[in-house]
Amino acid sequence: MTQNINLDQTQFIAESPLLEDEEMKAPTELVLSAEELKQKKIKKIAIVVPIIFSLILIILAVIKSRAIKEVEQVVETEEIKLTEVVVGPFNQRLLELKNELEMADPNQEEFPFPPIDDSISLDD
Amino acid sequence: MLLVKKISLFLLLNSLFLFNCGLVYAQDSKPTDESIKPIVYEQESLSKDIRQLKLQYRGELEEYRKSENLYLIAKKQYHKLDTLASLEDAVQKTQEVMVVRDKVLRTYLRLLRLKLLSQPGIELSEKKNAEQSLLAAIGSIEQHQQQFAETLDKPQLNKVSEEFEILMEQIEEAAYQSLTLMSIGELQTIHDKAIILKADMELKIATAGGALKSTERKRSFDETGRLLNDLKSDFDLIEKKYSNPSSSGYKNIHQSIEKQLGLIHSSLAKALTFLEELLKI
Repeated sequence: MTQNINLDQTQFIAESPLLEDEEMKAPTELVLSAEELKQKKIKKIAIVVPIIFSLILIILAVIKSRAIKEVEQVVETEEIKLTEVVVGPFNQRLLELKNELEMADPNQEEFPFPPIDDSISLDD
Repeated sequence: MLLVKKISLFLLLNSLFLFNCGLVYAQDSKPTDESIKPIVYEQESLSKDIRQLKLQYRGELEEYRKSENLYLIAKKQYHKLDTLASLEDAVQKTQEVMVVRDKVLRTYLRLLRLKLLSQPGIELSEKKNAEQSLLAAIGSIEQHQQQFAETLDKPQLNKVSEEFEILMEQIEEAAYQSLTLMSIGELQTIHDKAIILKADMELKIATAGGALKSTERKRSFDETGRLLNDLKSDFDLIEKKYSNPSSSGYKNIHQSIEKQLGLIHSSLAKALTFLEELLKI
């Protein structure tokens, strides 16, 4: 049992300042923590805010690029449709004429006379 | 403070970097039609006005329908109860519906005028005549509207009602004059364009594809030409009717030529189908 106890005084004296330092340092850390807390908070904000902001910007950029792609796709599909329909300049002119004729159907007037009562009166 | 500045700078650079590519594409700024053709701008401006008036007209027509319902209910109540209160309500509702009716008709004629002005293929003198009729009718409606500046009583309303019958004749004449002119003009324009298209096609593709094909094409072109030429006499007949409204008035002319215009429309559709077939031979 006695063999396990370290009786070396030299070692004890050598280690004693280290132990003292640790004991001494501990309270100083506690004193500084109030100031450091502010700095830590600012650091945290400095890290977190740009990250969140960047994420928002990235999301917005992705949404925007998708929207642009969709518009481009629509334009492309419209172009494809047109090229499918328009075989030649005569076909194009013919197509336009057919559309005009459809619009000019005399049985389907665009602006018929308004359906109003022309005999509004209090008498019967 | 330094840290805050750094953060601000970072955020600014970040946003500039990310949105740099998405916002401005200088190469995408295509020249607008307005910059190329100033005449087109006028046409587009007219179309915009037509769209706005169309919306206004629909809104006013809806307002008229509601007002007319209230007038009919009030009138029925008055004839049933025959009290002063019901008379007062009926008078008010009658005046209200008359005001809205004038608004509807005025907007409708203004809409027709813009539509007439934007329509190509109508002889300028005829267009001006029709426009003058519309403007005169609009002026008459505005005069008629002034009568409603004060609250009217029953005899006054009856007088206004009698006056409106004469005004209505003028409005209908002006409206049907323009409607008829536009219907003829639309089909006439298509007819002219079809003749030009047929001539261009004949010039370019009549001789293509060997002797057999060219003979077949010639026969088809001749048939299409005959169909289009026959329509000229139909148009002449209709225009003659339009030019001499006599006592029947434009409303009757509009109704009487409706069938003929329908036949012209069918013939034009047939001619265009022939031309389409010709492109496949």
